[in-house]
Amino acid sequence: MNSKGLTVAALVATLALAATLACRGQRSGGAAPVAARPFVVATQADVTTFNDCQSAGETTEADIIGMLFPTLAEEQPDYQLHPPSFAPRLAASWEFSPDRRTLTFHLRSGARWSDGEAITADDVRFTLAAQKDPTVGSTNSEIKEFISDAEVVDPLTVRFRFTRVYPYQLMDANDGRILPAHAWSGVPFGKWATTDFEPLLVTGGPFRLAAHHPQQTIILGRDPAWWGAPRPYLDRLVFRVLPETASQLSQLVAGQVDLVQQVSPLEADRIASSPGLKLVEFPSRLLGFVGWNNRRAMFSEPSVRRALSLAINRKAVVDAAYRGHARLANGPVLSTMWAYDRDLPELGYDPGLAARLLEHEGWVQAGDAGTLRRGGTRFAFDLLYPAGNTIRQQMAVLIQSDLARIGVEAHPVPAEFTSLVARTDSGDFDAVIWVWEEPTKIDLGSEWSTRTDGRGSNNLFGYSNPEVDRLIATAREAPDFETARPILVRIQDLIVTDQPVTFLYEANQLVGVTRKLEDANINAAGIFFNVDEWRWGPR
Amino acid sequence: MMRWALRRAAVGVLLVWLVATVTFALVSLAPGDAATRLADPRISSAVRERWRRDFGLDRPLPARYASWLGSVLTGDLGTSWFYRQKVTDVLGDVLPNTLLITSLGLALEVGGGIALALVQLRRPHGRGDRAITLATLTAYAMPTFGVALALIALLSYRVPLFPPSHMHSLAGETAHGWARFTDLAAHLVLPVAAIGITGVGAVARYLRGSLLDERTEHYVLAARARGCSARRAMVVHALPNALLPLITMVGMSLPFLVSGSLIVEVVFSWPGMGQAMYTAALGRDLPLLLGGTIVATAAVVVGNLLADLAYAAADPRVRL
Repeated sequence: MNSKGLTVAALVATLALAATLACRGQRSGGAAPVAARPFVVATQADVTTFNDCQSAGETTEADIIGMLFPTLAEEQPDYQLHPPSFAPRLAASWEFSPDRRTLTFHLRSGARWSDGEAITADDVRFTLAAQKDPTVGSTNSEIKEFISDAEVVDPLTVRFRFTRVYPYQLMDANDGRILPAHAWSGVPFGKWATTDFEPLLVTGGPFRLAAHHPQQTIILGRDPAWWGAPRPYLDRLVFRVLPETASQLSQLVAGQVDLVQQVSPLEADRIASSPGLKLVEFPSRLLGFVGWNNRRAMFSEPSVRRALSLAINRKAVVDAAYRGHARLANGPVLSTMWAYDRDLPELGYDPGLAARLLEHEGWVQAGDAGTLRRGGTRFAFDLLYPAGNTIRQQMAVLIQSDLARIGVEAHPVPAEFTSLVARTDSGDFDAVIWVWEEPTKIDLGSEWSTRTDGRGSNNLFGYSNPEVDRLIATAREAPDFETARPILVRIQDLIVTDQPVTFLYEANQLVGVTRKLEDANINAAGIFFNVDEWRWGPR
Repeated sequence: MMRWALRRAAVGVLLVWLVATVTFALVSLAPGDAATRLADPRISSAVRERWRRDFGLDRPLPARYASWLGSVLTGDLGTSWFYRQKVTDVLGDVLPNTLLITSLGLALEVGGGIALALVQLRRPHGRGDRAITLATLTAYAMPTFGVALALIALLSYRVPLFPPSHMHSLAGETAHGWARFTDLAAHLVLPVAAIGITGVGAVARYLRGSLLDERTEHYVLAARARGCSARRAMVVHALPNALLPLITMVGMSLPFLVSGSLIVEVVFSWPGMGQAMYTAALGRDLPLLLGGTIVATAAVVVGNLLADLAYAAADPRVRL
């Protein structure tokens, strides 16, 4: 064969290989029968651990752990009307002692770990010991502060003892996933922080871990021995790691992914109008705001912070950034929560009043420079936001524009996330656009109490009001929710008056999901709230 | 030769140490540490301190540095704080994945560049030459991110020929033998193309210029005078000499082969070094970051060494 013949042969061979690969690629695109298809969820990151006590609380990781390990009871998404209620899960029932100092759980019989061992009261006691052990470093350790111990009454009965009576006893006892004592007690608690538990994995939820390909795929397979059988109805639930959000949405539209957990407001219309997809929207518990560093002289006076809030057209900022998928926030408790004060005064947009308040505090325009000054200090500061977050970037620019109208200079500065957390945590900032995911346990202490050493605190802004501190402590000691509610209302009033932050938005969560999925109750309690009832619809 | 090799090896070890030390200092002095990512407000500062103690972050910087260096000298790169696995195990998982796409991408870049340059030289300054020059310059100017997204949009969604992400389809992850190989090959097409397309322009431009110079050299004209065909004179005589600058270029690409392309790995969800190092940097996973840095720096040293050796082999005038 001459060289021309060789070239032609090579070309033909290359084309044949490409055709084979292309056909292969099409098949992998998902032409399998619907009934046999796994349900594919896009996730931005892989899990770092399957041990609830090691987890730093990242949402998808917590969701996956939640499907692998049982809880005693299941919190219901009914916190709008009253404090959340609980449905039986591993515990078939529970009751408090008359003095509410002990809480007894009765476990359902027949519940088993994936290796066939029974799930017993010993596992519950072991879990509490792990959560409370200081060497484990569990995120649950402070939550279990008022639980002194768990007594195994019999293999299916466990009794929690409390050091005090307070409204959230059931919620705190239930917090965290039950761990397999027989499989994990061999690892000393002192070594938990650095141990990889995946090789030791024994699960007790509706799904088992079928496979884990790091940075690629986490496959959960239905556990046929789960106590809730014949549920779950899905055979396989697959989490595909797709770090790029644009890729997640493209694959959702193309049918290669069945659920995207966070659709950007900018993409909401595209997903809602895509045939075969639906957009599920529900109020998340995200509370966004501008945090002013109250320790800095510039932001130390409540009237100045109030002026800044009045000068920002908050409704316009939120509507522009979220395209109608967020509500204006008004105070420290979400408007969707039972304890929200519906009579809370709403702060409007009033740049004129803002200017007068600032003038009253000595901030005046000197010359024709435009920027306010007090003494020799210009009213100028850096407004931090997480780099790469386009929504908060847009908000920063709009806030800059609003504040400029009254002579306040805000300089939007993007910051890499870990650096941003470190800077805010150490107080090294002027102002920051921040967001909290509010727990359903309305405590307000970690966010608004004066920061004290040794305790976890989200009060990054140096806010301190002794009356708020006193009321938060009083609310914590209230024996029931009815007693706590008026105290919580008073705290909200005080915080809104002080304006330690400018409350901006309560965001909705947007979930893109295939219309072929049936019986999914995706709600504020979590996307996978009733995952064991999900099923494929007819083709 | 032996003295030269020993001297280069010593300089290489010094370079690896220097880069790793600077990385250690920069990451340690950057705001935040591995415990900072425990952003959950329920986590008390006591728990955070416990984490810091577990990872040795409560010790003074020099003590941490001495401890880390001592371990490295005994071959222990430590345990990743993020993955809770040995750094060598994590790198052992991700490095082959990166080498797979980067080496194929480089092969496409070099092979495609040579082929295009030879085609261009058939009629220099002709219409074909100008068209290829325009196309290669366009590809060279395009960001890898844009090329990757364009390839996905075109060949995964508009004409669904190749999968848009991951190393395997769900079926492929559990397949064996030929089925697994073809599944992997199908997933390789787009990331390799994204790497190759953006680099092919540079190779073609370099080589075209070199070949234009070489084709008028006396030894090529002499070959033609001896009856050698134009193509043979170009491929057999001119090309080996024109390839010399490419040897340096390919040698310098070795670090890229090892450290990977973050953008390509993120866009195609490819589990390689780029993604692992990016995650490590965000989470301040110092042991993994330093392990990756040592491997990448060693690749620079080895790449330069191999380029010099190849240069000497290709050009007898070069003495080591």
